[in-house]
Amino acid sequence: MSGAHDQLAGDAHDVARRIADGTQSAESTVGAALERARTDPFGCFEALDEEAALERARELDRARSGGASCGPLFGVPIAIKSNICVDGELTTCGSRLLAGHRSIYDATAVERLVAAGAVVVGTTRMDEFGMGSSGENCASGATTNPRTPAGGAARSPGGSSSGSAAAVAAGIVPLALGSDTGGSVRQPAAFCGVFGHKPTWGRVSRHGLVAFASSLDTIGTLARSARDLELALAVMAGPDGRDSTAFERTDLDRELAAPDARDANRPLAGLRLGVFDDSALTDVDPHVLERFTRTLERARELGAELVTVDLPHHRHGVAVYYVLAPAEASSNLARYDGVRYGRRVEAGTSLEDMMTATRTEGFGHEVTRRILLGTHVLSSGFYEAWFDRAARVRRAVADDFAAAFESVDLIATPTAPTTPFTLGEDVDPLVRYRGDALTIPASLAGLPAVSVPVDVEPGRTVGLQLIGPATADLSVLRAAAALRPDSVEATRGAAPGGSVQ
Amino acid sequence: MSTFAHEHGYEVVVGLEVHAQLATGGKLFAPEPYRFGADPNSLVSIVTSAQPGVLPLLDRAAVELALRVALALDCHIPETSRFDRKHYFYCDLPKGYQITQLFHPYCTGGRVPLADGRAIELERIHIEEDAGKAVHDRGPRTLVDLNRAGVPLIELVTRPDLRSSDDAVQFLESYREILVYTGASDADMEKGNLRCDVNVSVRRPGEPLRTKVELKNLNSLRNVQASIEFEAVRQVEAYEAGTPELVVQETRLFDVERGETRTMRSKEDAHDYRYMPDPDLPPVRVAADELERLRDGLPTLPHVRRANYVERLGLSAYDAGVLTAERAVSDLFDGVVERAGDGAAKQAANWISNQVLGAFADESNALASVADLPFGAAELAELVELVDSGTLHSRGARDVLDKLLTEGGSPTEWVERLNLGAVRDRGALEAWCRTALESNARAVDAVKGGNEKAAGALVGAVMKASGGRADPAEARALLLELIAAS
Amino acid sequence: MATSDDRRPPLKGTPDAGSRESGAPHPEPSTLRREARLARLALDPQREASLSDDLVRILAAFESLQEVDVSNLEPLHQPLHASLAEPLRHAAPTDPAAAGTSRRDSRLAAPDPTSAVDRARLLEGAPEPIDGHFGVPRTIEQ
Repeated sequence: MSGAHDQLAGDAHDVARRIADGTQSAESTVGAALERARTDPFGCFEALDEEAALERARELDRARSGGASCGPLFGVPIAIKSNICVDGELTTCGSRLLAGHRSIYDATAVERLVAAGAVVVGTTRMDEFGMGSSGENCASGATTNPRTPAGGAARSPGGSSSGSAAAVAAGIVPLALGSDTGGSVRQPAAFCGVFGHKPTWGRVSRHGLVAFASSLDTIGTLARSARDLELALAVMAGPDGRDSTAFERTDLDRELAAPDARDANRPLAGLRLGVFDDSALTDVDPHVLERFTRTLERARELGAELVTVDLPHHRHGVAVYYVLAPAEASSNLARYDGVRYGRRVEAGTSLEDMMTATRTEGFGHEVTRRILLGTHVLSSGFYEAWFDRAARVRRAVADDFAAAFESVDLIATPTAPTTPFTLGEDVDPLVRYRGDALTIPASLAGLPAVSVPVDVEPGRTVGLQLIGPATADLSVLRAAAALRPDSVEATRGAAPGGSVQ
Repeated sequence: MSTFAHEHGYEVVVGLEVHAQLATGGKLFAPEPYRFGADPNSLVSIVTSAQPGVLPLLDRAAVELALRVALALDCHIPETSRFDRKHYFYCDLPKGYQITQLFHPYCTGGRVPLADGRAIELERIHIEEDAGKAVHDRGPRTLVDLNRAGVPLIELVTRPDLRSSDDAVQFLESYREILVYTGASDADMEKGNLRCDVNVSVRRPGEPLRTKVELKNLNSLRNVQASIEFEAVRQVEAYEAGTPELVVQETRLFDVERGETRTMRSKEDAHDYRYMPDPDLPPVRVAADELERLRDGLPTLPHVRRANYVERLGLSAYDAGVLTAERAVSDLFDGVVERAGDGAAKQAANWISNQVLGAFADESNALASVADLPFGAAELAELVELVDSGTLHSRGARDVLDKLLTEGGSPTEWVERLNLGAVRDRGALEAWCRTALESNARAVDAVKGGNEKAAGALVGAVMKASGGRADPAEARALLLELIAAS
Repeated sequence: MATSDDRRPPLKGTPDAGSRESGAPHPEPSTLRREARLARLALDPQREASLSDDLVRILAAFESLQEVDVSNLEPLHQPLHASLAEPLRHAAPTDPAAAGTSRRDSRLAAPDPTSAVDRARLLEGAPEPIDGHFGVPRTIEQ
């Protein structure tokens, strides 16, 4: 029953409702998403599994006509970052080393989304193992930002959840999973002009998320509305017998069940919103700062009280992160040795030769750089000065947040200091690392954060980040919904003028 | 005995690192079971094979077993311990790191008692996971079997307080016994669930420690002993020959065939394991009341039992050793003594070490362990009481025990069914007594002459005549009565 | 015999020669070569030089970390939810006190045979399956 209307119009709520009430079928919806994915000019996908997706959609349609109740994501096509396991699908993590690697199990988050009715259409491109913020460190090619100005040079979708953010912005799917270690959901959300949520560390099970830096890794959601982020969280959150750091969800369920008592005209009334002193945002692009400031004004109109907060160790975030995350990465990526799975490169005669060739040829440049950095900061003679010290300063960063949240409810910052940069720029890695300065601190402290699209103009996209205290995911998402209650439009623009490999 | 070292004025300094597999039947951080000898790679979950995206989940049963050992050895148990990652690459190590405890082990200190009364102080024990197995003798390629990967281990590290190969053997025997008694491990060296690395150095008494050498590939007590002895001689010879450079800090393998240690191709570049706290696992905290519960559940340790058997119950050291070789046997014995009193100890020890253990050793029956017995301590205690009360004589008791071993049942019933009860009936007794008196005139005369001890021979004759069934006390009284009346 | 020495955390290693008087020790090219090998990565000379340069610059940019007074700060290794920092209860699986709890940070259940992956599936993606095993170049000793 395709045809009359856009099967994918609106957000996931809208799509699920239309399927549930019979306006459209799951099959036609998934078919429409697959059709767009096939003709996707932005390079969002690593792989599509059309047959499995359509079969699943037909199964849902049959269940519905058999009178089965419809889950909250009934028939909604979703995309999964290719570092989150989907049984039988390509889980390449954007790496040559895992080219062709198919997962043999489902991530808990995927399992729960599917149980709620979602249909996985494919896995998306990403910076290799989550390392990068441009989408360019991907073995199968870079994704381009769907919100690139017509005729302009191709913009980066951000990263590392580049394909997931672009797929949502391009209207291929209303909802996609990404992963966020230091900003990898929030920054591409800001660049692509969509919403992106990084939950409290432990809120969503990491079982099935291929580890980059375990103590920072989170599975997050990209969507075109804040309410979709809340829905996805409600579906995915909670303890899991396969991740011992995932915590209970009783607080979440209580809050979800409570009636919304907010004044519709002043939904932020009573909210104390923390902001940095201007001097802390000197590196931020003027356009970004202007949009950010304007949105803060809007927050004030909606009832929020702006309170200046000081996080004295915030400025150390990048250094702490780029010591700890590579250290954990060097550990987590040790399993890619050519023995059990992945692409092996035979060279020399010994086991060590084989492992070395496999890893040297399998990992891209940025991953190699970070493994070396991580190996260095953990090695004998350097552990204390770097790893241990960084872990202590991390404590200070977290303590700063805890102290700030004594006097404010949420903290607002720009998500990224710049608008999307042009693909193919050759930049010093340190420049890119510093681009994560505003998203990293919440990751270090394990806090929930959301990026709200406050400008979706091609080439000028800006996101505003809201950070909350640990476990306050719903407060963060509901404040985001207040700032931008509607869904952002998908862009269906033609392929961008600039080309990338 | 390292006599060579002693003759040259050296003492041998030994420290041990002992790995024991915990008998949980599963893995430390993964959900699948483990069985020795299962088909290769048939007991491997996604977690154990380190599929991308998997996480460890601690098995509490393993922690509990590890804590039992720590409590038994009187270790210090901190409130919090943590798991760390130890990194190195090898084909049998799926994650490229082993999860172990470096910075905050679950216990420190403690001691293992030796048979000679000394105790060896421990540095620490920590929990870690085992690696898989690399098979090298099946063709041109090395084959990797991950079944064993992830099996829980505890690694015990002693202080360098052992002074000979005998000390090392004594230590391992004692530790193995405690592991088995606490139910923590099967501790079978042949199956590789108890493995030992040895650090050996020599020095002149009173000197600071000299360079140590680590010995590996020691899969039996005999190898532990032989390798230490060989290594001590090698080191003393090197020092005496003025070639101390032959003793370097290294790992040497024990060549079982040739009975010598040889240097292991050093893994070029000294190890740098880049330890890091494992961010996937929460700290392990153990509540004080939980520790108390575990402590209350601990069995009495074998060396304590042995001391008790010898000092309180008067058993020989040999018998005490036989009875405590297996915990279930010792428990059975304790159960009898508890019911029948300390006085029953010798008799119970005798039956258990002869008839019961004999039955286990006898392969013609189905009995191999205490678990197979069709009776328990209560029946043995009952048997003791039947003898003590004079209802049953010792020869009859042996017959009853034979019946218990084969068929079980109640000793009292067996006495009746076999008609083994001591005969006190005057008519029957008198007939046997008269026969005895008639054929032992000299003893009768002696008794008449005032030597009552001579009655013993007469009682013996009654027992013989009655086929052992006469009640000896009754028979004796009747004999004296008949003699007095004659 | 310093049995315990090997066990001590590798915190007190000697910084490589060339480290500066103050601040953190900086890596020499020889350090990088050793560490690349530890990480099973082979670098040609050109790449080694460029990565070495990157590392030195990156660490120099992070030098500010060395100025933070960390003496009263405990390392933060995981931002763990408070509920997961409570003591373990070593309750038997049948213990009603343990049943129904939402905490699942450790396993209570007995080993589950169904969690072993079917061997054919396990070896399906393996580079060199041999006779139910993972095959690798011959290695006699580690």
